[in-house]
Amino acid sequence: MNNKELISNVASKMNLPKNEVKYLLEAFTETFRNQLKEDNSIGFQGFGSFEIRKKEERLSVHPLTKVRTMIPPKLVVSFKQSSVLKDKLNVKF
Amino acid sequence: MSNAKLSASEIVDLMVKNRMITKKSAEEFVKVFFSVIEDALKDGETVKIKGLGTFKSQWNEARKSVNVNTGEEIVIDGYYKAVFIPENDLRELINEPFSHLEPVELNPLSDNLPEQMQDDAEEDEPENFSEPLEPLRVFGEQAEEIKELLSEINSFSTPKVRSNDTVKENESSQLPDPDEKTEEEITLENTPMDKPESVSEVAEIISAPETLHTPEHTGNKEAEFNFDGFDIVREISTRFGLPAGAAAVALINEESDQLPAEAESETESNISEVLPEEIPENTVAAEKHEIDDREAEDDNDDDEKQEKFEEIDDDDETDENEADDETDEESDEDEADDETDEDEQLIPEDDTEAEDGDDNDEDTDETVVELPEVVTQTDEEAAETIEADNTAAKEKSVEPLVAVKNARTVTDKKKIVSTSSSHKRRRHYHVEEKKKRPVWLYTLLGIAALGLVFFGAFYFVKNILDKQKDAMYMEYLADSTVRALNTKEVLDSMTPAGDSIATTDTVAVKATDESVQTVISEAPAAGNIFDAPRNYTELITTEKMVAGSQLTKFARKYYGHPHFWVYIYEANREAIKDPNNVPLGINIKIPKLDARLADPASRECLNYALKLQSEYLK
Repeated sequence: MNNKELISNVASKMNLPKNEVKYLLEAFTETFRNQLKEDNSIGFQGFGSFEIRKKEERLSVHPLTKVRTMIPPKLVVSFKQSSVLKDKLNVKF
Repeated sequence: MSNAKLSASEIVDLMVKNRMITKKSAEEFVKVFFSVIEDALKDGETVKIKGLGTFKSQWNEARKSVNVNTGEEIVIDGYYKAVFIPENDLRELINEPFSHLEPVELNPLSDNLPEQMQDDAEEDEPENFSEPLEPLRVFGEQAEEIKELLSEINSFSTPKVRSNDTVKENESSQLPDPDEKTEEEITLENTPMDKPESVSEVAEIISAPETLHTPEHTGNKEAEFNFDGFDIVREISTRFGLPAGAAAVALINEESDQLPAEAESETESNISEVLPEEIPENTVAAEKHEIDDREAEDDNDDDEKQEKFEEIDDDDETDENEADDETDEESDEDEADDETDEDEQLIPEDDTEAEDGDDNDEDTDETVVELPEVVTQTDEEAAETIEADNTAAKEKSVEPLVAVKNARTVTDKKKIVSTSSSHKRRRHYHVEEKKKRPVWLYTLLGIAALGLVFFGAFYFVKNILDKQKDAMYMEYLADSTVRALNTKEVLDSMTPAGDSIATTDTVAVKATDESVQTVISEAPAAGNIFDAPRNYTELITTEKMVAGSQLTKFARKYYGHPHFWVYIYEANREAIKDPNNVPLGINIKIPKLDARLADPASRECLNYALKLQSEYLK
């Protein structure tokens, strides 16, 4: 499902024109990104939580060439699904 | 606001604040948005959201685990897990604080390098010239060894000689400059200066010893000189219990032009009535002076210890060296008849020395030429160590020439004590000679042999090719001769009109019916189809020449290969005067060709077409 399909799906469920849904989606993503950018974690009830994690720097060694490379630290977005979502996903089985 | 935990409602509030959105619609949107994603994930779909990333459900396999409390083995069932893969855009945005950091390759050597170098320095003595202190230690150790050797040797010698040696040894070990005088010695002495000498000074110094040598080299006294010098050596060697050799190390730094030199001649009126003349020459770089002093010490130790003539070690093999060696050998042989064995055997060495002196004189600023002659094992060892040191020193300085010079002794008169050692010496000398020459001789021979083999192979291949060509040509001749007869019969029933010129040629030539001439004519070609006259009556089509048209293009189009343009040309000879310049606007007849004649897959066909082409394009 890509962006367009998502928008149309949401639009059909909300009984709103796609343009408006698109606008809402943009507003949501912008807010979402900004908050993440400010190192805030965002939790959505029943779905999961997003947070920023810092991956520490590490030393990686190429197994063949034995070249040691220092991997710098970095910040990544991590998503943890909520147990509710997990149950929903695995309800079939 | 950092590190705050936001909930959906807070997000909604922010959305409403930033955009002109009603809170209601925003709340509803968020709710629906996630429910849609949920549904999609449940169906196993992936959801891609612009500006965020991708949600997808991922199957985690069942795995075994152990209950930490009970120790029981439990199986964790496989399950679907919703995962979120952020877009690159989002990832970069989040990682902005660290975006300037790049993975750095670490060179494992760089960390340990200093340690390793030090280890090397301690393990491999000759290689640690990079550190100024190490070579000194090396030389010091060598000096120690040499002293030990010396004491051993002295134990065999007569007390007087021993005392003399001891005195010298002490002096040399105490003084950095090899500056030796004893009461019994008449010395002509130039000590190496602490300050570098100019070249002219060096030349002067060297000229002094040289004058001593010139007569012995050329004059009638040669034999006597050799005789005497050898006697001394022999005597000393017998006295010391082993043949002795002394080595002196000279470092020459060309760049600096600083050549401290030492020339010594000593006359000893000892028991042996020996008048030794020692000419160790040291040319030393100023900055290496300390090292050189150590070396000089070593040299002197050697000299005094063994007091003798000597071996010249050559690090830099120059032509001069080789030339000298050869000369020595020749003169050695020449004089073999006239002189006694002992004299004769001495000649090479003395010559070497004399010439060596000359070389030194000439080459002071350039190279000190050394002649290699290892006499004894001790000498060899000494030479080796010195060589190693020299190599080290050489590598250290930019363009240093290292020369191992010999100290030698020349006496007024003395008797021959034994001949055995001289034989030994001579044999050794020749062995050295033979060892040395083959290295470059064989290299030259090897190169020459390679060249010969190469040219041989080249001509061999060429011959084979020629033979093949000849064979093909002979075949072709035979073919055409046979065919000439056949063609003659065909000719009668054939109309000349519409034939190509080539065919006409064939006709003309064949009319003469001389097999030789037929052979020469090119028209009949190999292959059954080729010699038949071509008759372009059947046409595939006609093409109009327009700008950009080419016969070769037509040939490719209709016959499958551009080389067959020649047949088109043959079919249109009336219209085309010059195949390179076909007039525009004319209609080109594209003749129907025998498949055997224009087979793009057949090499024969192509070759024949090429042959025709070269004919038409003359």
